[in-house]
Amino acid sequence: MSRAADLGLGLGAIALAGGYGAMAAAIPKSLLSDAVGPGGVPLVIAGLMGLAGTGLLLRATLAGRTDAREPPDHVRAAGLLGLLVVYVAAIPHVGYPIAIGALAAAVAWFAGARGWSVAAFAVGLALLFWGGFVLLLGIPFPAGRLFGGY
Amino acid sequence: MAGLLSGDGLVTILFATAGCLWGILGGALPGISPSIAMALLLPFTYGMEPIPAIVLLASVYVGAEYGGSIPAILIRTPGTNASAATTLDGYEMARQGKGGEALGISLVSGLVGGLFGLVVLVLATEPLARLALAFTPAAYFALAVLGLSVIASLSGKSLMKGLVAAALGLMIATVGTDPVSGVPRFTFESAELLGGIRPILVMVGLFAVAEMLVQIGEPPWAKAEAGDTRLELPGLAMMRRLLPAQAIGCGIGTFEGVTPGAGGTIAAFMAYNEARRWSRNKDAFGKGAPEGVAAPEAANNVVTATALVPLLSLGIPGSNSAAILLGGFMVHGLTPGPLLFERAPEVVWGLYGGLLAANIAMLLLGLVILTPALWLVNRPKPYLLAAILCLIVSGVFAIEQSLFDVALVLGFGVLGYLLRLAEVPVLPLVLGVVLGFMLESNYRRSLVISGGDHAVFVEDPIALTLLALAAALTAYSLWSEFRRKA
Repeated sequence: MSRAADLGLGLGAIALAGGYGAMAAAIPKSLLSDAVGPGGVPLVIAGLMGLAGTGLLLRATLAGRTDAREPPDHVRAAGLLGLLVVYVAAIPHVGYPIAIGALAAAVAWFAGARGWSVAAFAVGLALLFWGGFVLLLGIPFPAGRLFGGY
Repeated sequence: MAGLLSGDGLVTILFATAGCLWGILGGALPGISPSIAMALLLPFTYGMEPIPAIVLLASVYVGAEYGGSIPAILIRTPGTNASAATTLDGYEMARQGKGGEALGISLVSGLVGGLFGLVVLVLATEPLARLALAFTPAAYFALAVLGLSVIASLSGKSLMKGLVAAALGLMIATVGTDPVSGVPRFTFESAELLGGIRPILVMVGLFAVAEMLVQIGEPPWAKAEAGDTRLELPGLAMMRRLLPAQAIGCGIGTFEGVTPGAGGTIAAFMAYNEARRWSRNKDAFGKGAPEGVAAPEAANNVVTATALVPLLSLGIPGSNSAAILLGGFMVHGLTPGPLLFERAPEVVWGLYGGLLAANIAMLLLGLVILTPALWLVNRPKPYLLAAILCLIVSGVFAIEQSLFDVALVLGFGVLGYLLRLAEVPVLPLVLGVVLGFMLESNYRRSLVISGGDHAVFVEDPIALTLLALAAALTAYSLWSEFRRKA
């Protein structure tokens, strides 16, 4: 990993420690609290995170240039994540069978599959998963508001 | 053995076989590690009885190590990290037309290693657990600190990154209602977070979703051309020849398995090197030596059992797969550690029986699975990725019928992806999540007992020893890291 990324990780860890520590300090004490209180251990964890972040910063400052590895394809990862987010947002509206079939088709297409086999795969997978999860296991997946479900 | 043949025993055998089958197929797919194959099944264990659920997950681990050797031998692409050492001689054997023989050696050596590891597991775990029964809350706190510091030090290249990951895991563990006072912490006024974040969601996100986010940008997997390869089990003469290499693999696998943070990959490479070092025919290694397949395969299968020693006796998972198995225990309200032997001994013995059944199933499945495994490896990657993702989102929803949980898992998938970019090890984070409650509750209980006096942690000899070990290990790792980088 590059030195810049190590510096970024160190700064991020310190920022997280600060934010988390501030929230921990603001946790109200209850009458049932022990001597440590609900915020005591989180404050120690914030301290540990802050120390580790400072250590990373220090080490990255002392270290020379390092070779960066080939990073994964962020655009494709973000695209896949987008498809998953759309699935979560859409499932209450269109229902499980359509949403899971659409997700299967979209992911397969996004990953490079083409042609009618994508549609056949999506329909087959939707039927298999709907049959397995809903009919066989009896799990109440959303039926979809569009179709009168919840 | 008689227990295994009872009604419950037959169910155990069935789930051990199913888990082993899933493990072999998952292990054969490059990119699907044993822990990911286990994480994919984890949501489905919610509705199951504890013993079949635990056996199912543990059997996946057993099967995955053999499954990983199939593409390692046939296409020089290790299906799992631990099978990387097998490519060195396994692929050379395949090039010489001995792919079937290499697969047979891998299978039998895996069985030898798995059974040896099981014996070590049965003999070592209960005595260690009895020792841990003497632990006070202060000692349990110290044990959690030691577990976290060992994993943070050994599971990555950098102690500081390990500590960042461990602290992040502890932060996640503090989300929810404070166990002592009932005050909500870090819930952002969300009712869904009041009960805390279940470790299962963290694990599925960090292992399975993060891997899919990486795989989507990777090139397609290589096609496996098995030709007329047929699995050939080694004969008696070959078995005698392989015995020293398998013994080396068993010895190293035992040591590496019980050491938290080491795992099957290190064990396999160490076993390969030692088998080469002690061989009379060193020059044959790397050119298709059967011993070069036997040693690493025995070693990584020993680890599938011995990695459970610290988990079952002390409640400390030493590897990603052991952490997933711990998640399986927690799903059923069981806490691995010394009390498990008193409160649910049937689960422990059921697990032992299941591991025995899984190893035998691995041998039988190994004889017939080659063609289906190769068929699966050769499916177009886009369809495999899509099917796996659909399985993840459906399985997670099935746990509590909560879309919030699915969204959380996606969030942890992004976190796992970012951690991978920053080369931050994931295991300390998982350990922080699963040990967070043990650490905080025992720390606060100790102080309640001592009236708020922190001297309780140095007056208890076990706690003092464990904390001193943790401090020494952390200081040594810090010193080494700064000396190396400065």
